[in-house]
Amino acid sequence: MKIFFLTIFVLIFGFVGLFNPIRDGFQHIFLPIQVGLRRSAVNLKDTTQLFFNFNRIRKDNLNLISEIVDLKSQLIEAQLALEENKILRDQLELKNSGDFNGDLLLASVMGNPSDLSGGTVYISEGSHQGINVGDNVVVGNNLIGIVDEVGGTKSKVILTTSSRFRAVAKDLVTHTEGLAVGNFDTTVGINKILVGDSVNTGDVFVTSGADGIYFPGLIIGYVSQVNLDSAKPLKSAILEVPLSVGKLDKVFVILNR
Amino acid sequence: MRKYILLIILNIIVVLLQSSFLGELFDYSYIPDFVLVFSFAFLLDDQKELALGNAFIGGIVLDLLNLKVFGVYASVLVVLIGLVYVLQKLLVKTLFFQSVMFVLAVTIFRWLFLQGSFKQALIGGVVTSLVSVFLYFVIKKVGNRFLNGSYRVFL
Repeated sequence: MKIFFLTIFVLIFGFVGLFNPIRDGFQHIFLPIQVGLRRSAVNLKDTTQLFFNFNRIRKDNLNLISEIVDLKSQLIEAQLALEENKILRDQLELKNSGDFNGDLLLASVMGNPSDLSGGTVYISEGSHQGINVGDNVVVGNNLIGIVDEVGGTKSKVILTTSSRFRAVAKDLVTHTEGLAVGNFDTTVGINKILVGDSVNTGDVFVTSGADGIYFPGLIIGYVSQVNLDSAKPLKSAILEVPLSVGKLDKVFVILNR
Repeated sequence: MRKYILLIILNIIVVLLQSSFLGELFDYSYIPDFVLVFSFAFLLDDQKELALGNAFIGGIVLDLLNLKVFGVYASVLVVLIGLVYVLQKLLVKTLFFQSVMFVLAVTIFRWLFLQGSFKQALIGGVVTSLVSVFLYFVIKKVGNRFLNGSYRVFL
């Protein structure tokens, strides 16, 4: 009971402010301790938060790296799409000009590691996309080769430089005809040109279509050299192909449906 | 007298820690009111004098560190402990019932003096009650021996 009376006594004197000097003195002593304790708590809290944030910062960093990789990938895809669009646009313009009939199918060049001569390449489309053996492969108006083997999702193309390539060709200017043959997988030779027929360096040879295998008017190459052996009844020429397949990413297959 | 000197030192330390350190470090709702924790623990241990004395000393320390009318904290704490003591004497004296009364007492105390929701006050009440029950068992183990002077050689 004593403590209740003591409390009432303290409260009454508290109301009149009797204890204010004691309180001031007490606070004067303990205020620096309170400030120090508070500062320690804040520092500890900050340190703890920083410690926990390390994990979050690391996660953010990893997410950002992942996003950068995604964005770079998207950028590359966009650039590829841009190039592809350009190729498609060029090819579409050519197709609309009526140089050849047939649907065009865009395919990626995959190379052919098993053919060390470089006379054949694989392309990324096959019979599922409607490709058949004998389909012409072009870029623009330039003949790249002919489909030799067809799988479900990829096909093998014989290039114009392959020794297995054969096509009836004609000079675009002089209309001289000859047999275009792949020459050691580097150039194309035009054989069986009659001695009286005119062939000049720089002339363009295109497919004549007489063989029934190639569409007419597809560029095979430019004459770089004419061989005339007086002992032989026929002469020959060497063509340089306008496009290097090694540098091509995309080609078009003219589908024969 | 030695007990009360110890209580004064103890209350100054815990009130300073509670108001300046723990209150900054954690959400105040989850920090127990240590003055009430000790008083409740003494009540559970059937030490009415110590419980009221601790409430009075703790209240005075709170009054000294705050700017409210001097004696308000001490009065409210003493009245609350007194009420809990009377109620547990008149009604039933089980640990659960006492704990519920502690929760109510702390909730009222926090509701009166702290700006916050009733839910926060209630959480504080539950935490304080749980800590006092824990402290009661600690006191039961070692506290009585300590206060009776068994460890005097170390003081």
